[in-house]
Amino acid sequence: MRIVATLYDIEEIPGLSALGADAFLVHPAELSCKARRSFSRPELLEILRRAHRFGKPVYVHLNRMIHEPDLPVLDDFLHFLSGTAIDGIVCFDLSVLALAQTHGLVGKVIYRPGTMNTNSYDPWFFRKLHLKGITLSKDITLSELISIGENYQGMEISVVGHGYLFLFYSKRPLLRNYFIHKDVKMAGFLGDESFRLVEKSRPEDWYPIFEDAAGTHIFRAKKLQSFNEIKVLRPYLADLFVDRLFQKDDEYFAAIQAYADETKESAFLQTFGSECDSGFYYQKTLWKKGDDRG
Amino acid sequence: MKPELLAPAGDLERVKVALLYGADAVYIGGTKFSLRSRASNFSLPQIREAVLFAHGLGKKVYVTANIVFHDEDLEGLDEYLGELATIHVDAVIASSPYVIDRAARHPGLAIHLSTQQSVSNSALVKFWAGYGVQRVVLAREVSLSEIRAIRAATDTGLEVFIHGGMCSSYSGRCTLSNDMTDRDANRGGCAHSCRWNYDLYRNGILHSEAYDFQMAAKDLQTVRFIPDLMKLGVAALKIEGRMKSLHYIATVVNAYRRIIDDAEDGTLHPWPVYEAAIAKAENRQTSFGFLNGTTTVDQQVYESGVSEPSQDFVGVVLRYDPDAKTATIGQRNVFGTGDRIELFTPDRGSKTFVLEGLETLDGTQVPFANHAMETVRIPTPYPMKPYDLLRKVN
Repeated sequence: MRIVATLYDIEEIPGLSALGADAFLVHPAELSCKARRSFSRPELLEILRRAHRFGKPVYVHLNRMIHEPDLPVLDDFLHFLSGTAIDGIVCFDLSVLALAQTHGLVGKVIYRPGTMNTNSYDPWFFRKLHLKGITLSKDITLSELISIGENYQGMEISVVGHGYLFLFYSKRPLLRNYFIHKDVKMAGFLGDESFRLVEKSRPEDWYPIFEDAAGTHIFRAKKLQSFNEIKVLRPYLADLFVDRLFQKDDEYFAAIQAYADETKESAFLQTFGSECDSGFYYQKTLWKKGDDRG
Repeated sequence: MKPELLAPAGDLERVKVALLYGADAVYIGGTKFSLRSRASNFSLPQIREAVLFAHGLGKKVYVTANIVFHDEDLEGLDEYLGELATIHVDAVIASSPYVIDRAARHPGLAIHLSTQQSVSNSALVKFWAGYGVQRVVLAREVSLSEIRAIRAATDTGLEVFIHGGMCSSYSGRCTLSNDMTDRDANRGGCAHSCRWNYDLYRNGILHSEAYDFQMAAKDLQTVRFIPDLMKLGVAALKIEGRMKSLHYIATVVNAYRRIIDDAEDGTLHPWPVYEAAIAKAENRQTSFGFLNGTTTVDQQVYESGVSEPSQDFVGVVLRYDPDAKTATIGQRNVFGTGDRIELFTPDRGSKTFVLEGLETLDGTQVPFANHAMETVRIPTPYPMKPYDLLRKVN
């Protein structure tokens, strides 16, 4: 299982590698979102060169929803990638897979839609398409993850095991619209990680809300940590994504180290654990027909 | 060629009303595998009855199986799809590759890709068409120009939402409800957390007032865009709302039916004519969503989200006695002698009259029909048919 660290600076490669990162996730300037830092094509080439020198694979994260005007941009970017030694293309939208076919890149695609990959059949479907892998949904339980892992072998399966899981992705500029509605001049709100939402009946839960050029994103109020669960899931996983947004560098580096070195877990939890929880691992959602609760 | 007008229906009565009032097809949910858990979903015998009724009118029935499946949901799907094929359901609306794969084993059962997949470009339309999908319900986030480009690049049937509720998030990708209430938004349990009110903080400093930060989207209303959508050659224009009332379904379906037919015939009336017709049943703020591109404050709900329809729905005609010139009415809201009543029909326009009296079925004269769902008899100046509707003119 590779620990995949999100990269915010080219210079972090040696340090994160030393802490235990096995691979790097980078957000390209084209078609990514929910990121503090994105990289140009020349920077991406340099990241590939340096990371590969450390023997570390590099994935690009195309996590925007792809609209029709984005297709030429995507096509051009995939053409660029086809001429590089990129190791993985993590995508939120299956359009990336559709276009990857024409660039010989299908075997690099990891489909990570956030939701959708929720059952044992999904890996079979995508294996038929010869993807590199899929990331299982964030909102299924540990027992469901285990069940999928036990029922399936043959394609890489991954999870997002740490960080603020996103809950909501709207194309609407919700912060911008609200400030216009209130006639408030609010500078620098795009890409600002300090906004939080609080719902009246949940005063303890502060939900990060983040607006960028792709729209508005809302995240869980607590960070997911999976130290114990990953020990169970490890036999089934090719990649463990450790998300980075809304975290300070020292905390993030400590998390990478703790996933790589079990002896560092308790120190991490002692320092940062109060802001973490177990996400959806033990939170089984309900859906009964006619259920009027809530 | 006219696009299909596709309407929602939460029960058999609404299936019939939707089809009688102008829908070319309806979509309904079964008791399993369908979103909208609180809609009155259909048993297989009820689906069969809906299909027989629709096919008798030369119209169609689609059944949703559009939850995002977990392992625990998979059991019984094959049998269910087989039953749907056997009773000649025209298509299944699916979002999961599993359903698409399994439904493809039934050649008579077309596969429509649910908007849960949020398809927003032509490459993805072609991708899914390659897996046997005959029609793609586009994401509500696509603009008119994007629909035009997608249409130009593909020949797969495209379905476009034209009216009703809007998710704030891309469909299928939202788990606000899952996190906040344990209700799975992608398995029919959405608690609509995006329509709640929030406080907004930046660096711990409050920037909202009394929980007035809202994300809720106004409902979709695209009256003025219908001719453009028709010119694009989309396969179907879809109305949202399987939980909407019979009156809402009849009113909205009939208004769009008239627009489509009038546009085709070159006899369009000024837009306020159709908008006023819809306003008789609409109680939520509306906008044209993403059709002009990205959204602004005008597409968001910041004030009270509910208003009163311009007319009250008071009853549905059950029977008409041409000799006595009386109609038997299933009451839905209070009405009484002296009220000005509009008779709203699927195909004979509308007429108004003053109600001169009413009686219970045992012949007792009463001033009002004020018992919920009671059946009364009224004298009428006009012939009526079952499923004609009565509104009180306010």
